[in-house]
Amino acid sequence: MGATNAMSNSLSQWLFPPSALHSTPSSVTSNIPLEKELYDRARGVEFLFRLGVSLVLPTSAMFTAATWFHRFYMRFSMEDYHRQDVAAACIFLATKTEECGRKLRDVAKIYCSKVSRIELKEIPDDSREVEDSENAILQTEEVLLEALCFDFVVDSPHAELVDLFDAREVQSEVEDFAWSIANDSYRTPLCILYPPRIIAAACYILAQQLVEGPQSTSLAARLASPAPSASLPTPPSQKPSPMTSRFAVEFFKFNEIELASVRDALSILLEFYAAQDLQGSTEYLATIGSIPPPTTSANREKLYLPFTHVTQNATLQGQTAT
Amino acid sequence: MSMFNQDPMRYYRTKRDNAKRRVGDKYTILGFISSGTYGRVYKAQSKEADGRIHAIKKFKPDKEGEVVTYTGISQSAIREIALNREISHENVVALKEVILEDKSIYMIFEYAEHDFLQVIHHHSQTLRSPISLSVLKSLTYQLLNGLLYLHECHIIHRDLKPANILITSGGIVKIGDLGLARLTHEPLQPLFAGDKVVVTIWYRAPELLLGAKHYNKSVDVWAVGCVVAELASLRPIFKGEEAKLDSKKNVPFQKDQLLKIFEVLGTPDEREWPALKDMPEYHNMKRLDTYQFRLFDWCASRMKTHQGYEFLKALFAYDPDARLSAKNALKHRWFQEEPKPTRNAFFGLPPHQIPPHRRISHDEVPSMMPLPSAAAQGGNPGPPAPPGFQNLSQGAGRPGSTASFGSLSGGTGGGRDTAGHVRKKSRLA
Ligand SMILES: Nc1ncnc2c1ncn2[C@@H]1O[C@H](COP(=O)(O)OP(=O)(O)OP(=O)(O)O)[C@@H](O)[C@H]1O
Repeated sequence: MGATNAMSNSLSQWLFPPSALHSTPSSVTSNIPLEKELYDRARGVEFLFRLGVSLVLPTSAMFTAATWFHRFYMRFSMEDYHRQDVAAACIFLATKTEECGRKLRDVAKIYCSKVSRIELKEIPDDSREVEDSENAILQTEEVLLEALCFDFVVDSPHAELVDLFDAREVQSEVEDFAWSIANDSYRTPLCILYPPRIIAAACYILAQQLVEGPQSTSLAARLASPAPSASLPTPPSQKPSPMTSRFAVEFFKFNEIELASVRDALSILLEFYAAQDLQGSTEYLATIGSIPPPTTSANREKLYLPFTHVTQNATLQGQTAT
Repeated sequence: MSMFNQDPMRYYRTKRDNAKRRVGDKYTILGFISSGTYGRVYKAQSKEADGRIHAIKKFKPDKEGEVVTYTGISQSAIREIALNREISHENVVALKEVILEDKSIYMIFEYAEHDFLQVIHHHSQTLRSPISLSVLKSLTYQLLNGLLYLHECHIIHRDLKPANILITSGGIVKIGDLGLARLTHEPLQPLFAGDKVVVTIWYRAPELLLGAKHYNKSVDVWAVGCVVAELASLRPIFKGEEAKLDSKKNVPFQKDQLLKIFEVLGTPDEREWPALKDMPEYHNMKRLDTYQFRLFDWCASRMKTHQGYEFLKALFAYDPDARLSAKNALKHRWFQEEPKPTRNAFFGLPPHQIPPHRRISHDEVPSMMPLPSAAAQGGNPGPPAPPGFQNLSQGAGRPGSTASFGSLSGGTGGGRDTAGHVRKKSRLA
């Protein structure tokens, strides 16, 4: 059946090498520096999550929308399409594919309330702002469909984490941390760089390191290949023990190349956390920025600059805090 | 991967540029086939060298409110595309591409010359003779084969009926219209919840008619049973009257349809269907007259052999858990006895027994989708004006929840709770 494969959808078609981040439309056509683009991607996804939470969407819909958001900006510039419009269009479209339909009017009202920081109930149905937002969402939706090439179905690292958790007998704090880090991963472009299982493993291993503290096995050792003999308590034939630092690596049966990807993904996550203004944040976040990254591919350029630096340098018109 | 390293965007750009082209650039519309719930279906020929024939389904944009305004790209189109993009099987209609033009979605499918309804009509109206056992069995086998594939992809079709089951001129069955299909892990909406959703009641499984909140793939197997019976007798086996929603939009008790089923299969009882007494409509059902099982008599002249009767009986098990799965149905002894199913369902048929080609009409074409040749005749008729973004004044907005948001990155540990996640594979996979 020749025609059958014409549209077949493969995840790898949506994965870019990290170097592609240096030649995005925002950078090539709008001269937006990478650190600014990454900062705005993070803010856009934050906004997207806030819309999704207010609309009481299932988390799976938000993860799908966030992935589309990152795909969108591999095709269009942040200068031409504002992150908040794109975020709202992604959310609106996700309510259609994930069968959790919301009225355009409701999405638009919540969008207005978030942008203008006015209580939702203070916003009249027929206000000019709501109408404008509706139009912005609809116009962006069309561009979004074009950008996505109608590939709607995406997988999330969370689904992989669920598998990983299921393989463990005991629940632990590690799972909570891993889950949250996976949420945060959407603020970075990881979802367009690595397949979900790589990201899931990176989140899990970082969570282990956080929970077990700075004295525990280093990230480098957790991701070394071959495994350092000291941290290999079980013969390969046995089931991996959930307690070992190599649990995720063994669970996913990573090969050399995949291990290298996990190291790169992890270092991007750490860079992202370190770029945040972590002052006054929770204790664990304060420590996350100081975790030494595993050794990564030599040729990878640093992606993030401190966000405080980005905001100071950028002259934004109509700057909002989100 | 090396290709991406040279130009990561290349694949992407080609793909997008393809999508960007207008329908009229790539296809010549040959005529109008049918008007469905969500839009229209056209017959079209590719302008590529192969000149292949396609069916193009055009969706109307979504509308909301009494003053009809554009509220975005059709949700049903989006759903149907999302599902179709993930699948590929010989017995499921293949989606070739999707084009967005003037706010309408066009889905371009491989073309199928016939469908089950045509075959039934051809035999009942023109030939006035039953469908041969060999054709009947081949059509059924391929239908189940496509259904097994969908079920293995965790897709419930939910709207199987003769008009939706297509056949190519080469006698290959193609399940079509995934417009109501759902992934099994998604929360299933009651079929009658949305006011525009209409699933033909004749093919509806008894658990749905009795108001079951939970249902599964076996509703499709029931529909297959109805379709097989219809192929065998050339008329719907359970041809009930649908009770309509009352003025308060209460979901009515589907008395007539249930009676039509009971007349053939007898009144169900708790021994054969333990969950029966938990059905929301159980008490309404208990008030109906009782009937005896008489499928055996029904099958005698229609299904020909004893295995034919056994097969149909197993598809019509009242208890969804006892009903045959698509997989086991394919293994049924009926398919092992002669005549065996053939890959070309029309194999060996004299031409007059094959139904005529799908009828198309031409009057609809110019107004809906201007033929490209029209542009050549001076002037530029162009596409119909886009609906435009008008005021959504009647949107009856129900505000969403204002649940407060805990920053997902700031307070990671607690943030995930506000997102209300349920750590269930079913919500994520
Ligand atoms: N691939 C195809 N090849 C030929 N004809 C097709 C094809 N797909 C659909 N059709 C024709 O168009 C009709 C409507 O298509 P389809 O069922 O997909 O649309 P729908 O709007 O969901 O219709 P309905 O409301 O009847 O379910 C079919 O019954 C069939 O006659």
